[in-house]
Amino acid sequence: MNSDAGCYNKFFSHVYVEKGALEYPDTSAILGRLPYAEVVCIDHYKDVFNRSHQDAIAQKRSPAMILAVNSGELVYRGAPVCQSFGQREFYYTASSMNCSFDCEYCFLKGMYNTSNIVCFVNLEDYEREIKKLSNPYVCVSYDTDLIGLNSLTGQADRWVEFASENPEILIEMRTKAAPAKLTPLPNLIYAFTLSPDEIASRFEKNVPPLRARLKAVENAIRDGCTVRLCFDPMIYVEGWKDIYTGLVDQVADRIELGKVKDISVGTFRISSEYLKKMRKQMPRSEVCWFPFTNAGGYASYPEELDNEMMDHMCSVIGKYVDEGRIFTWR
Amino acid sequence: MLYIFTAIYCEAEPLIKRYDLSPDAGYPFGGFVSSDGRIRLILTGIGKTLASAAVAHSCARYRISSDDILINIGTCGGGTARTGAYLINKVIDGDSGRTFYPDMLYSTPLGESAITTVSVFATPDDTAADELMLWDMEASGFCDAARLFVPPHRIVLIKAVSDNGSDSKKDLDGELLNSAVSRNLDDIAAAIEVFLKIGETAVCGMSDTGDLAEEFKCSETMRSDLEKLIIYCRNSGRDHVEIIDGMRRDGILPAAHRNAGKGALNEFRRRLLQ
Ligand code: SF4
Repeated sequence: MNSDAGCYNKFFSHVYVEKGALEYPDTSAILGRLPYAEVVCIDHYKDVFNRSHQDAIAQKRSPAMILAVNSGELVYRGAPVCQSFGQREFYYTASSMNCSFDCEYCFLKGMYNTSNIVCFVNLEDYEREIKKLSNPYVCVSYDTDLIGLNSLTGQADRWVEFASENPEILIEMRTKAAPAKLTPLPNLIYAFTLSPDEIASRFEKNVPPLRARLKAVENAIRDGCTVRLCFDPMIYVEGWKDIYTGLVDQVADRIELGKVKDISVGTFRISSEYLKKMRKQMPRSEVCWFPFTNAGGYASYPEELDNEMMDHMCSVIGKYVDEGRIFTWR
Repeated sequence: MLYIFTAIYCEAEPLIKRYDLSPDAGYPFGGFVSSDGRIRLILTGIGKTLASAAVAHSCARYRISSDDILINIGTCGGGTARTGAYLINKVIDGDSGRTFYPDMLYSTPLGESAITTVSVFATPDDTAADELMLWDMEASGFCDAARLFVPPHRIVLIKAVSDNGSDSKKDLDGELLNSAVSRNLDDIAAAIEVFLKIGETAVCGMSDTGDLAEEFKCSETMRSDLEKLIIYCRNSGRDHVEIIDGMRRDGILPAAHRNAGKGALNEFRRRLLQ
């Protein structure tokens, strides 16, 4: 433990609330869950979120919550490196931005200037926009981990409610959290990202360990939820082959893979711009300083290694699951 | 290192005594420094323009880096319910309406407040109009300059309430301001203690590739690639010296010319990922 550990405020010791967000019921609910937080009134969330020279790594030790009303774009078309699993029209939305977990390789560190978390309290506006789309498949937990934040924001619950009221809309909620109970709905996919303990313990701070995540997957399947497993991003470390083989075997040992909807596999890849920023912020990071190949604005493992990692993972998973249910981003 | 910015001597005196700071003559902003060099106090003069100038001048003069902490300590006016010293979480410039938010990462015993910086003394009417607001004359100027040099979690403002506003400058004598800081000195010192404890971020710049770059016959781009590979070695706990020695033994290094050097760099990468 660092000698300065006791010097930091607790997570969400400070909540910045946009004046326009004060009257929203979600604001009162969230503030009610943080009775000891210092509340600072702000004009616009960007006044805090977008400040220059922020140190996102330092802020990870005591992130603040920002409650705001999103009056900008609410739903986006999926980006080229995102998987759409061959489904419908792919969209994503960000009713929250940033995450309370702290994965060293997280693209959010490159995307935002801060580790503070924004929670937009006008969820009904998001819902209205999504209802206008035809045959959409919407990832709602892309720039955040909604389930990880749910005890505080309640947003994962709100999306479950929305999915249950709109059975024609397919929703995906991705998480590294280990929720005890999830609501099963045919149009709601719970996507659990699983990482080997060797990776989680080194690069995924504050994230529940693999056994807890597996327990959550087990419970979700038992309760009839639609479950997707994501072995993505695979991170290169010495001995990766054995490490990831071990992971799949461990998962197959615990989970009835026949009951999983599908499995996604991907190696670490990131926008070169984000990577540049992350290297600056984390000069000691093993993941970020890997000698990546840069092509088309993205950094990825050298082709040969990348293929080897993907092929290996797919073949190990293929021992348990038929190929048609394994998706890659290639 | 901690850089404390205080408007006038009477506000600074209790701190100078507490930390046994010695005069460190400077022009145009006089200052004081602790014997261990961990605390430097700078007198800015009154008003936001001078506060801004003092911060900018000090940042340049002392080569302040983003690992240093800049603290504005001073007095302020406040409503009748406001007493004691406060850690400031929001600064409003009373003239432009601009706001600044220091990051509140650190836990101190001080209560928190917003503050409005004005160009003339806040009056009793001002302080009565918003009981929760504090009023001073430097905070926004201090922030305006500080934010250019250090991240927002390295910007700190502590303000001790000296009065409930004044209609005349004469009411605010040195003794009043001095005693506002003195009365709250233990709390302020406890906060300073926290900031002194914050470990300085280890600065890990690029590694010095020096002679190695020569061996690879590096161009500027190749040198940067080589540096990154060496950083990766360090970060992943691999010994680059061992790989390089192996390449020397195999006659790959030193490279005869630039093209051979490019090949050697690829080979270095390949061996590293083996
Ligand atoms: S859980 Fe996901 S969103 Fe959160 S820090 Fe980790 S990678 Fe980023």
